Amino acid sequence: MTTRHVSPRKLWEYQEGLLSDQESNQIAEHVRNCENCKKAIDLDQSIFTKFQESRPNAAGAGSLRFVPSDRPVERTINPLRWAVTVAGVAILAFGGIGVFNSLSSRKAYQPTPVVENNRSTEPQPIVRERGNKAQPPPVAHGEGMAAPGHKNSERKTDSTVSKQIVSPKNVVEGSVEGGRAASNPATPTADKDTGKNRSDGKSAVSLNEAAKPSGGLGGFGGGGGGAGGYAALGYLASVTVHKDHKQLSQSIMERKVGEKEQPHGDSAELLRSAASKDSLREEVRSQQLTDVAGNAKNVSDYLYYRVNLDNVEIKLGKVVDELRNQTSVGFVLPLVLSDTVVSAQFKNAELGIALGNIAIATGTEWEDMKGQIRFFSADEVNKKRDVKLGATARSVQDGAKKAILICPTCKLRIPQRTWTWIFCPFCGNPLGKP
Amino acid sequence: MAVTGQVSIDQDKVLVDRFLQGDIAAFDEIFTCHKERVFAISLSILGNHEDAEDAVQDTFSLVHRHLTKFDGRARFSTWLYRIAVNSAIQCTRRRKARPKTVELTEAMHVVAESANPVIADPVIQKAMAQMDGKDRALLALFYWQDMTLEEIAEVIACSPNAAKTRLFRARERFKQNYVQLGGEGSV
Repeated sequence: MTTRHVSPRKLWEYQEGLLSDQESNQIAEHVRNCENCKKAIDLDQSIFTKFQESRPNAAGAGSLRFVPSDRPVERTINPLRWAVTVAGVAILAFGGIGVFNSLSSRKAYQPTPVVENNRSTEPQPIVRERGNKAQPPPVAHGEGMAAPGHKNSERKTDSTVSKQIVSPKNVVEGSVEGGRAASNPATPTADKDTGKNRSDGKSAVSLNEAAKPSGGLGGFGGGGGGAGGYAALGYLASVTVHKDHKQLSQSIMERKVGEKEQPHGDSAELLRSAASKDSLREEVRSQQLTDVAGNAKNVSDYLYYRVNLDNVEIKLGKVVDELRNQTSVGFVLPLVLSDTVVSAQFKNAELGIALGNIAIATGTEWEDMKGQIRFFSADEVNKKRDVKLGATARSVQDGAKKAILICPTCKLRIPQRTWTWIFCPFCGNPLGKP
Repeated sequence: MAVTGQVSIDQDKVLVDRFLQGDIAAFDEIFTCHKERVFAISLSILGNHEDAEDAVQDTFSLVHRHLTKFDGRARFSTWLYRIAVNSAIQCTRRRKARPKTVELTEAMHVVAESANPVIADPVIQKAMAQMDGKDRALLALFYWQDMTLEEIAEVIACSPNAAKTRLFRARERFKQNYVQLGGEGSV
């Protein structure tokens, strides 16, 4: 012990008499022979002796009086907390009124259900397979971009909308016509199957009417009930959450059957007839998408979306450009204007719009929803979310990647299939990198 | 610590029981018996008479309000000193948050106090002022209030070994400050 180094802590414990006798003796022996330790102990002692001597003078405590009543009464109402509470209550109250209005306006509309089953309340996004997988697409007419699990997403489709099966051609062509028709009911509108114009103007009216059912914002998807072009867009808009591909395909099959045989029949009948239409099923399966986004270079010019619903390709860039010119069409989502990508967050997060979905609003509705829309520049989207829009198109081309995206906000798990989801279809918030 | 101030442990217990039974005068006795020690603890932590008086008021207010929660597991004095130490430490935090500028009248008090300092050695006072409130409390309890490590451990709610370690570290920090300020070690 005489030559071993003693730690300052041991020296201090030795100094303060905090060690056992044996340890204390060992250190004492060491300190006797070690100049450094002796010096350290001396220094410590001198400092802390002084320290002890300079004990504060506590004189004056005698004059102290304890006066509990002197103390200020505890504030029972914290102004800040109170203000926050009041604000919270106000927000809740207004929100509640909004929800009530929204629900009550929706109650007024009871669309004829086409399909009873095949609806999932689970908040899963639409799943689109590559064309060669021939998965029939999802349809949720009349409910627009209703969030999964929302009452609206449970609603059955509007048969008017369900009739609108279009081909790629008439989507592009019909959209222009349909848009005009929508603005003016007297204008001939595109026929539901051919995309040719109709002169009865019914479809044009249906654009606006179809937009009504969901009550305000909920009506965007229903806008597809218009002319051919709108129909396709309507399908896009009405893309909602389904449980799985099987259900989706069955849903589409049944819808197609319903369109051909009993466009306005009840859903049970449609289901029965759907089961017997294997040939139709085959027909749909045979419609494969081949080329999707091969040339996509610039989002604003060539953003392609594959509309799995009808196995058609829609070059949305053109459609959107045309629709922009239509005064009666309030808005199309996602609207790719020059380099601005639009996402929308709707009241009460009822309706989430994901890139790849589209909605049509009438002028009035657009006015209503203006305040709810957030604008992101394409650069912002690319940088912040690290999601390249170019990659969106590429992922369509390269094949379905089965990565799962998880919404950071609502934790919705979104399978990445034919495109990269940039915004959560449920809550509308941006998604991270898969 | 069989005796706290002028009151023994048994007396403390009796007084507390009396107060809990509704005898308000018992609290005055508790205050009278313990105020000096509590004031000394507060003063040694805060190094300022006004703040120490405030801390004493805070401490006894808390005791007055929460004496019903005293379960008797520890001694009353230990419980009281714990409250005193915590009040003093809170007071140091509040003081840090206080604006640096003072009113002229308050400044006069400060000047008067500096003429009659709480701690005689200015270097020690400065070194203590530079330290964290908890460290100050440990040093004050050990060196100025002559508490044992076990008592300190009870007051600061930790084990005796932890108290020993904390005390050692506080001591080392004090030493460092003291030497830096030109104290004895710098020679």
